[in-house]
Amino acid sequence: MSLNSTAFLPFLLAVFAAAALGGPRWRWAVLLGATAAFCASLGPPSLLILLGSVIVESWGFALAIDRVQEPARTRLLRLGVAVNLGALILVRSSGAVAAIGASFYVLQVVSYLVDVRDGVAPAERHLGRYALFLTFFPKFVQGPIERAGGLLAQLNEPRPLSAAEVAAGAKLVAWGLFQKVVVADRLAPLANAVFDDVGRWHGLPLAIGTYAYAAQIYFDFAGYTDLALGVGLLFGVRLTQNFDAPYLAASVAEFWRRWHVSFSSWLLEYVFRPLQLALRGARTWGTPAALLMTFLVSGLWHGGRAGFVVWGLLHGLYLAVSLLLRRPWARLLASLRVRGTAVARVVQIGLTFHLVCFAWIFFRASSIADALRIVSNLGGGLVASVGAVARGERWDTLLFLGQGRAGFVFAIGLVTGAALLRPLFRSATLVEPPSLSRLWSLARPAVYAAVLYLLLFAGTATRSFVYEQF
Amino acid sequence: MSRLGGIGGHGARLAVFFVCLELAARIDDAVNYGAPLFSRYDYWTLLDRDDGGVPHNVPGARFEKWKINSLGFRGEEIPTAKAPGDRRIVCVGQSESFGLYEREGGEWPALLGRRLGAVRPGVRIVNASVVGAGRRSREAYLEKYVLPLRPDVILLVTNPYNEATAALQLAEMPGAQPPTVGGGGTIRAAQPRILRKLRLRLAEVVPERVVVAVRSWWLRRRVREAERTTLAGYPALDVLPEDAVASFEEHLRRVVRRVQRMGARPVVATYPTLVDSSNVARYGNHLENERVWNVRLSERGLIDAAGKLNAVSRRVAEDLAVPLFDAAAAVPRTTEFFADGVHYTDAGAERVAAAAYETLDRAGALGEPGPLTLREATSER
Repeated sequence: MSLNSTAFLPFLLAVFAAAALGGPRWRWAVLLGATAAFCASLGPPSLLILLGSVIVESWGFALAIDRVQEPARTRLLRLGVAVNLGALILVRSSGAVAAIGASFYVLQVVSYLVDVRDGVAPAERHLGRYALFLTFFPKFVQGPIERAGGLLAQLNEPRPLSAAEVAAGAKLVAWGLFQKVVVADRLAPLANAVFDDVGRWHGLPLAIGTYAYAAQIYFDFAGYTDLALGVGLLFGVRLTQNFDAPYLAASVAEFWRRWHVSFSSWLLEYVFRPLQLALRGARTWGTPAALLMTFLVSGLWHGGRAGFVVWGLLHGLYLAVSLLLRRPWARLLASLRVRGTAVARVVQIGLTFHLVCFAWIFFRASSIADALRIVSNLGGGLVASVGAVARGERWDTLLFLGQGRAGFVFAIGLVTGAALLRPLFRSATLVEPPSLSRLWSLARPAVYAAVLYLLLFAGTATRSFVYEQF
Repeated sequence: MSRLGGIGGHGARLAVFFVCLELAARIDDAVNYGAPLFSRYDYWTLLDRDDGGVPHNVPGARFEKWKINSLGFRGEEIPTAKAPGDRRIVCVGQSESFGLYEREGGEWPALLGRRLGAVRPGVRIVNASVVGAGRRSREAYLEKYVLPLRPDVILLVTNPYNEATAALQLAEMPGAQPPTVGGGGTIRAAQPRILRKLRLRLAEVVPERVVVAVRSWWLRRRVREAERTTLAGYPALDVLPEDAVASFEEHLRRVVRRVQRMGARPVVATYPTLVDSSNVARYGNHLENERVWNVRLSERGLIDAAGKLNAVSRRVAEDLAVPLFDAAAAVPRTTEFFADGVHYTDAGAERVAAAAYETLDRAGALGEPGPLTLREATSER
């Protein structure tokens, strides 16, 4: 049972009813039971066995760390991290179904053990609440990666359900589903047309396929996250926000403050900072080296495929180079008298977006050879294909990628609509209503109707989420 | 006052929400099916009656996957004039041949046409079936709508449930009005289209058992209502009376001769039904839908009618020495092939098309073969 499956809605309603009847005191038990049922629906019993082992073992490690003093604390921490990362590497490399969600909950275990060692979070004594913290069903498969100070604290102090939270949660669930099953899944055929048959294309189609994938992966992952956040709100739980209009970032560093935030902040805290500290002797090259290594880890976390590693290294390289060129770049903008202007920001947003898209090619392509062929053919045929399109020639192939005009225009319309309508469905705080202009307020019922209609009748057959594989 | 204003505001927003939902449904229909935005759009716009009361398809009409060509037949356009050397095989049936549950282009006459297209390029299948058409108008329909096509072969498909009911009606009420076909006056342009879409979507996501149970309950209600208004306290018949059987036989013989007089070669078909006495315990609930339209016969009566009238079709074909298309023997009686008591799934339509091809081929009704055999054409595809 996936969050976008038809079986999930009745499941969610049943859990909501049970949680509402059970009240705050027993909510953890209802949610834990629901999580067990959800996980059982995902895979074989080995998934539950692995999950149970990780829960009990990491819970025990945290309690043990909490009881001893340094240097035993750090030794225990290292052992705990090694055991969990070892388990992660083992199940991921085996390709077993039991690996579902492991990349996310193991990172959560690591951060929890570190936080307990550092005294940032107390060791949780209640095994049930700890198990729920690790595996809470809406975030189990794809995160967000939660910190003990956020989610565990909320589970320990449950509040009565509020109508505002439930209403905001329901709205977010609908919006998340819309982004996934209507927008992302409509973009998938465009991206797949290019990436599944790389040798067929030259120039513009490769660019369109790459843009389509950039949009697909965003709406897919952001859709999942909003769905998870919405489900959390239905039970009075506020999960971490993972996306904040990442393609409007004016630098790659800003992109990572807006994209998969729970993961990037985890990397910053538990990989980059220790590395930066360790490499501080290398002066100018220390931080860039730490960035490269951090994003190498990021690539490896996605899997052993060379494309993921190159994708991670590219991002590390972008950040390292931008750090090294920060001053010359600032001087260049100042000399052009555009520093801090809207023009400079627009140019930087465009540049950042294309750097990110370039890295997506390696992330999505089936092999490095395919990715390199895309890069080579993209540059080679771009002028000719743009010229042909400008002359009105071969639009069906060059522009619509053989998917038909209607499908292409519909996909563009959906992306534009989803970008414009986002403020109607989620405010910055999620629960408080967004401040809208009078026009938007008046248009709101019409927009809700349109989104609901598209959700019900324009959704594609269920596709799995892109990040489910990690 | 402000409370009232608040309630009014919510009410207005709710009204705007539903109006927009309906508008979205209409725009969707307009974009995907070329449906009119503000006038009537439903299944029954496909059908009409002419001045003589003969039900026929409306030329150029379209509702969702169902498209009527400019001559008033389901399927692709066909030239009005028949080219020399061309052969036209016209299927004259009801909803089972017109197509209901199959994917677009998956109704059996269309499948038969595609099978023939590769191996017999000069042979064209015309699907002249009309939903709900029956005995009262069959001969007039053949004269008015089928004869102008200059058909070489006419494949006659008769629904035994409807034929039995028609025979009973004629026997008991000679002056009775024909049953309503098309022009469903209760359906108005203002009827919300979103409701039908929601119902269909709901049926897709709700477990099949629930859908079957709800549908069964609804059909039982309709059957009870029909029994109350039609049977007036008399029990439904468990056995189709012999005079009704004889009446159908006389009608079928007359139609076959009429087709022969038209210069076409008739092919008489038996009629596949899902339920017979061997599987009634398993699929009996599928007869509820048939009983809504044929309430004079009980479930046992329907099974009896299907058996008897199919036997009549076989006998008439043999007596008059015309080819028999034994469709009833070609389709296994399971829900893999039937979507309800008489309508086919895609798999069922495939079976019927294959059987029809064999019958026509064996009967020499296809004319000279083309350059490829069916097997060769299929393997080339």
